[in-house]
Amino acid sequence: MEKPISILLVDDEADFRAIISDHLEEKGYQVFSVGSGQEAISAAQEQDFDVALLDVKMPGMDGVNLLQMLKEIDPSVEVIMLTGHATIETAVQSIKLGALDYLSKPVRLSELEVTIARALEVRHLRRQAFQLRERLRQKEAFPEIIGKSRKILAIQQQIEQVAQTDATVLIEGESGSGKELVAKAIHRRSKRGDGPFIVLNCGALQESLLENELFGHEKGAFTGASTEKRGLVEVADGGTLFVDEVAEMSLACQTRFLRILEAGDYRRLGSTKDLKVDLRIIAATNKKLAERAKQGQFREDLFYRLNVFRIVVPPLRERKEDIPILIGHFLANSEVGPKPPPPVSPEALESLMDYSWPGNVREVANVVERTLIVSQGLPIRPQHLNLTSREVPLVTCGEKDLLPLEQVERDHIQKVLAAVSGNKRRAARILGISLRNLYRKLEHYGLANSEPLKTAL
Amino acid sequence: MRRVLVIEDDPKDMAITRNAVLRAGLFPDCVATGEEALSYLLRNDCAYILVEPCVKGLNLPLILSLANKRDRKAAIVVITKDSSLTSERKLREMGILYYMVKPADDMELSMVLQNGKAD
Repeated sequence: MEKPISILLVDDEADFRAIISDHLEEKGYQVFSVGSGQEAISAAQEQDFDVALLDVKMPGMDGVNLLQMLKEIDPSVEVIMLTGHATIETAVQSIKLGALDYLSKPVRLSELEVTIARALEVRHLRRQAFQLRERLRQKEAFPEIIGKSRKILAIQQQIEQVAQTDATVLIEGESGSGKELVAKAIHRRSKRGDGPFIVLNCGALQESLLENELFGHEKGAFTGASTEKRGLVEVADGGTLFVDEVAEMSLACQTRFLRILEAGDYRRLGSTKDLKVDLRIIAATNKKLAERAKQGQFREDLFYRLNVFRIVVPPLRERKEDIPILIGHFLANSEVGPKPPPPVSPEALESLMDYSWPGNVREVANVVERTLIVSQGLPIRPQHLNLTSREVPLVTCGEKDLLPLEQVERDHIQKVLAAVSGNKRRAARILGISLRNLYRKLEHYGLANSEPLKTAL
Repeated sequence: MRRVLVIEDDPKDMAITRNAVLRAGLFPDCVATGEEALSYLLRNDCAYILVEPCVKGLNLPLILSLANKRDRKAAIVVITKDSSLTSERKLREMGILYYMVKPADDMELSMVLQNGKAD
């Protein structure tokens, strides 16, 4: 049974309280009426109220002060002010302190009912919004980094450690392993979390465009530059600039980029004016940047500036225990396929666990989406998966474990017969030989009259 | 030949963009409304989408979502008359490749199309 709506009525006039209480109780509300601010505070400390009706002018504590106190005790209570001495100042003050509405006495009961109904609606909506925010906050403890493996938990810890600082971060990891997600997680948890998160992919643009994109240009900086252009350092000002594939940055661009890291200074192309920015740099690469620096392909001083805090994102094959979780996540969140998503058969899961995932998490997302389309709502089986290279785990064995071909064939025939409960016609079909040929082999291996091998289920 | 979807409702700007695409050795398919853009993307693949976000009826997040669903992701280049920092930030956070304010330099645009690497 739904809890009745409870209303706190506070007015020093007993007759007024009686009229209002009676009327509201007839409408099904539960009314708790008191004659002073002090009594109202005691009541509010003992129970929750949905709506409070407060007289403004009362001896002792007036309605406006009472409003403040009630909101301290329970910010979610919706307050309606009632007064015979309406002034604009009091009305404005009350609203600023959180009152929903202001009614002048003598109060029209129909108007009071409508106002209470509106207050309840507002309360309901506020509550819903709060619950949604809470649910989202809990769900998004680490929404970006999915997994429960030891390695992923270590990454989450590193993110928590570095997020609150302004330290430059270098993220290393294979393509598709989640480097950008790690960068976003750091940004969201930092004090720059409300600021912009801007991505520059150094591998996506050629050298001259990259510098232009990063630093911008002045009008007339080169032929055709008819307007000025903001650089990404300016767009990211106050926030985080994520420099992906930083190893692809040209040496000339690296020099200008180093200046930003060292002093926060930069110049637009074609300008002699130094500009300042305040941003945090997170860089990422799938190359071994330290080696490139040693080989002179990457500035060593820039490398050391970037490598203040290093996070290495493991490839998926090194955290296979996360594969089922990732599969489940992408199945549940896919926009294709039925809801709820189809189950994954044990054989399909085995294939998914055996696969090496060279494309890492990004490849998991793509495989899941493709599989949902192919399976058409049916339980997912290995034939739906179409993994690009079926990697069978290597079984290494010594010479002594190797058997003669005849023995292998004999054992296999016995296994197939067991699987089909001795049905020779079905066994022949599975083995891809004629029934006559099967009988000949059974004769040859002395299996013509023997029981089939019992297979484990 | 790799195709480029141009979403632009100003005929003059469309002509400039179209020429830049041809100069880059790509083939332009031009549409002037959000609806036409969605129809195109539901039926065709393209390497780039050059878009003016201010085109009437354009739902840019939906366009981006469709572009990302392709087997080969289309790269988005924004060419816009809105030069505000706020809108540039918002668009960049959506994951665009490049951002240009009109009048766009057709040489610069050609370079983006010739050498920017769409997935």
